[in-house]
Amino acid sequence: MQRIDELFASQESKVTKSEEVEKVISDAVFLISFYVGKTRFATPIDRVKEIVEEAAVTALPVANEVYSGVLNLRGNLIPILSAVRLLRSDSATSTTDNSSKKGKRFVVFETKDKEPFAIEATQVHKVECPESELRGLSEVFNEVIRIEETPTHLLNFFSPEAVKILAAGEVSL
Amino acid sequence: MDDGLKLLFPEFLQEAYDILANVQATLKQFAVVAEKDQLLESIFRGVHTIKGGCGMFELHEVKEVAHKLENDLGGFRGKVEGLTPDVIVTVQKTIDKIEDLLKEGEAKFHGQSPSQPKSVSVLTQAVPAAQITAKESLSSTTTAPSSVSATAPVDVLRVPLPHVTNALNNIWEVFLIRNQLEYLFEQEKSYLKSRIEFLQSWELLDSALKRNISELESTLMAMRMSSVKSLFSRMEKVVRSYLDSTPEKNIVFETAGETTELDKKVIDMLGEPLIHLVRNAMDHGIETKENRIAAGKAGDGRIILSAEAMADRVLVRIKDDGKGIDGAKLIEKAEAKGLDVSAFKTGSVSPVDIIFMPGFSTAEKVTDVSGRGVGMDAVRDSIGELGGRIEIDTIVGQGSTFSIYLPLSLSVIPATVFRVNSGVYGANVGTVIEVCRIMPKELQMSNGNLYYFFRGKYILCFDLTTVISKDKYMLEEPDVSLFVVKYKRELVALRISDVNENTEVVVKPVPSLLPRYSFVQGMSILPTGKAIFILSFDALIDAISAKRGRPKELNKRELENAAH
Repeated sequence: MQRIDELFASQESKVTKSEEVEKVISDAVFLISFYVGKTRFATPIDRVKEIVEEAAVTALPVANEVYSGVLNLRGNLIPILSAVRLLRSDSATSTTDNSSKKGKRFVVFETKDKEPFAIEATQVHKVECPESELRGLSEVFNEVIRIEETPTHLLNFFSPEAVKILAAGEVSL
Repeated sequence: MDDGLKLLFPEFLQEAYDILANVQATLKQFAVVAEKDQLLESIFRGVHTIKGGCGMFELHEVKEVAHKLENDLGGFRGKVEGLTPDVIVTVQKTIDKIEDLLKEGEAKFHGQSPSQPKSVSVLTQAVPAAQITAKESLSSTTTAPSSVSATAPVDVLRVPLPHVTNALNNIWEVFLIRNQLEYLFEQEKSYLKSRIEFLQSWELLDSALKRNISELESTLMAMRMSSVKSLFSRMEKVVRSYLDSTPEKNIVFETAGETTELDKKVIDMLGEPLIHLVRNAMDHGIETKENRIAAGKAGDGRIILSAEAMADRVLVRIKDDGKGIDGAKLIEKAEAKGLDVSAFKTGSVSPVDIIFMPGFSTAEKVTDVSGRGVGMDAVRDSIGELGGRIEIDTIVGQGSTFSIYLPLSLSVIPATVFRVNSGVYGANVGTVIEVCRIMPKELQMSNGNLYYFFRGKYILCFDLTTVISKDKYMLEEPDVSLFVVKYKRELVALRISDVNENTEVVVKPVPSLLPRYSFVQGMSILPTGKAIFILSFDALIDAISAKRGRPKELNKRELENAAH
């Protein structure tokens, strides 16, 4: 993962180019917004390591409700989280619909301990949000805020709750 | 300790450990070498160097012990005949003590609390023999040159292990990338038919690249290899401390094949299981002197720890000439503990394997030597984690042999790649005895288990398609592929969907965020770019058996009737 920051930097510039001219708002923070099914999520941009368009996915030997598979990203093996369980969103189940396959991306995140993982999502793009909206959310994992007039689940994978969900245990047959 | 010294401390420790290992090796030569004066001088210098260092790094406790030992040793100068085997043993123990104290100092330096606080008073009891004779000579410390180290590593470069590991990881990435490039190239090759010169130079360069990658890999692997010597001397220490507290037993501990090399990681991880096995051999295997003589054996028990390099693996063996393991007694004990031993009674599985059952321990009472909460099941698990396996051979009244087979390399393995339903997996090709493609009707059901008639015998068959990569809609496959594998002492068939290819794969660790499967040895990436799980068949069969319970006895008549 040593050069992933550079790759991420190039990804970011790609995203920026496709955006409208940026307004400079002093107290704004950038978020990456994405959809899992019909639900919109967002996470601070510095928590997103990379956005991957296409990758070979390997399913787990025994189905697991937290993880849906493993992704090979340039030789790095990255677990893919099953959004249904993690985000506890009923509408997230519709990711398996063929209708949402279009524009499918893997959003690669990192845990506090720098362990990468990915979530399968659609309509991935950069948004900005006033910093005041995010205050006091450092401990919360999944909090609904309002961005661009749309209710958005703000995800914080560094929160204790997220850490608990991510700590998968031993699996037997 | 000031900051400048802090920087030097790790280096000093490393040197001190080297010196101690050297001193231990020299002590062992005492019985056989004639120039005992020179040996004593070398030991004396080693101890002196450590004493000096300890003073500088404020390790007063170690310094005190080393000082006393130095004085005692000084007393034997010119009268080496006084160094009887008993005295040598006490010196060995004192060296052990110094090592322990240094480790404590190291732990403190790294901000950890020492695991077992020990005091100097233990030592004063340990060197009575040396003390008495040492009274005669006193100020010998000044005569030894302080700058001379017992080990002077000439053109050897100490490299932190992570550097080698990183370099290895990189070369494995390069290996995988080349595999993927080759795959891409093969896909497009037909379009390049007319470009003969291009194709030729491509292939020439590619084969040179391949060769260089594998040379680089073996060089780096060799850097990670180290001999089992340090591991074996740790065991000697374990034996010494056991004999100290167990006067009713006498054990001769021998080692062989100390120069055998293994991956550093394997050596590090093998320590605990080996200590457990050696302790077991001393505690449960070897009888008391009295009992041995009563049984017509020599009063001294023997334990031989050996290592031997084989074609693609290393065999580490612990052999004792103790009382052996009584299968019938094991079954009795296991039943008393409420464990299900039905399978062992039929004789289809050797009852000796009961000792690997979780929650089983043969000790009448838990002594402080064996049975410290780690069972033999944990020993087998940690050996399994290293990709190895353990086997027991025992003869009641004559002794037991524990054989541990370990892979030479943890990284690149020859693998067979196969499909189970929609999932693609890999497994070490060495574990597969035969691949069979058969008609579905050749698999026969008896007492709820599948059997396959192989080489004139019915062998148990596990259907992996009902265990892993279970799909919602499963296809009826027209014919059946089977792997025949060796599981413990028997042959077992595994039903899979199809065999793809045999190839070399780099085994990578499973990402730590993923759930842990007991039967997954690691992951790898195929030339196509697809990630696969590498399975351990032994562990997979264990997991299936654990889930289903042991198979019932084979009903031969039913099978034969079905066959006709």
